[in-house]
Amino acid sequence: MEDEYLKGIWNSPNNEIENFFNINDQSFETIQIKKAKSKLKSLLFPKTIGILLGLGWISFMFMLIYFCVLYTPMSVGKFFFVGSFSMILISTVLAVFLYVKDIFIIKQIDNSESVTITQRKLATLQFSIMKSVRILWLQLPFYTIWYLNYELIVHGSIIFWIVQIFCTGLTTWLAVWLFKNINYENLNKKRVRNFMHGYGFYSVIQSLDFVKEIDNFKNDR
Amino acid sequence: MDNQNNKKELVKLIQENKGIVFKICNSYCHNKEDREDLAQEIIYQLWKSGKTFHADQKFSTWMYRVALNVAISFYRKSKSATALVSLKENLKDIEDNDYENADYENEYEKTRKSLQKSINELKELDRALIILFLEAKSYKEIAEILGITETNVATKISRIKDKLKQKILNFNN
Repeated sequence: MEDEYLKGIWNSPNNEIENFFNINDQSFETIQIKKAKSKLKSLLFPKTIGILLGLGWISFMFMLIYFCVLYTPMSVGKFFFVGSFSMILISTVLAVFLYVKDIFIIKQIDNSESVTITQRKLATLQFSIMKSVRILWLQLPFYTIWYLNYELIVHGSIIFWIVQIFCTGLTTWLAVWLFKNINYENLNKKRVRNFMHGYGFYSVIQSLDFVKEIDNFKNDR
Repeated sequence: MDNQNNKKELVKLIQENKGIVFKICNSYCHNKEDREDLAQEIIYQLWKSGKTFHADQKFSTWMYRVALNVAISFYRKSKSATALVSLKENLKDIEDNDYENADYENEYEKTRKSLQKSINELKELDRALIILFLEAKSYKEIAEILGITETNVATKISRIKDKLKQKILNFNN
């Protein structure tokens, strides 16, 4: 089968093309309006929601810390409360910052750039949510210690301490493991893939795979 | 392209090159609704990207870049969500088409269908490459559109072409 034969078939006159669409000024306006509205639901939408929720959470955390620092006396309980929520606040601020950065990148995406460049940027954006999630996981152990106070530390029962150490230990191990392992370099590790798959991050795995595919495509592998 | 005249000019250029949009939509979509939706998306993105087009550029090169980028993004977005439904719809589409065309289908028509089916089975980027090859674009232009080297284009085309021909023969037999 010759190349020219295939090209001839591909470029042969086709009535379907004529009937596919007929664009005029009016239909052009309609498409613009329709698509401009649907764009709001695309990549930008979940990121914007993430930022708004993040800002709400930051404000709440900030108020808790602010009132605790100002209106409660110095104590062991205050140390744990302010310390824990400060760490949660910092990691949430970092995650929101990454989301804002993504929005700037989305705004700069240019479909008229070469296909591999644009597609790589888009795929990278899809798995960039993992960067934020990794940081957010780091706050997990702090949710298990913010309520500790002098009474609990000195007079806590054995069962309390067993549960407390188990929960804090487990969440610390989990947070550190996730932070270290969930990244681009570890994509090929079976347990990392299984974990991400199991927790609904299938689209993230797909995006990571596509980035690899693009890199291989560019490097002729 | 931000005034009325430019808009008219763009509409005219899109109308003249609508074969490109049609072929790309056909290669990246399973069913009629998706094809129409993708065509609208491509037209919208061509308008939005209008300011990046310069007079010294070849319109079709610029248009291929935008259309392929939009098509690949659209395909990837809808791929997982509609995989099961599309498969059923696609099978039904093919059966209906086969039935309607059974009377006048000849070898040429059969190969045309097999060619389209074979292209639709390729990976997203390979599909873009073979579309550009079949559109008789030069290696230099393909390299510019896809963002890879000319040598890479030549190597890949030869590899994909063999794969494609084999698929067509399998479909035809």
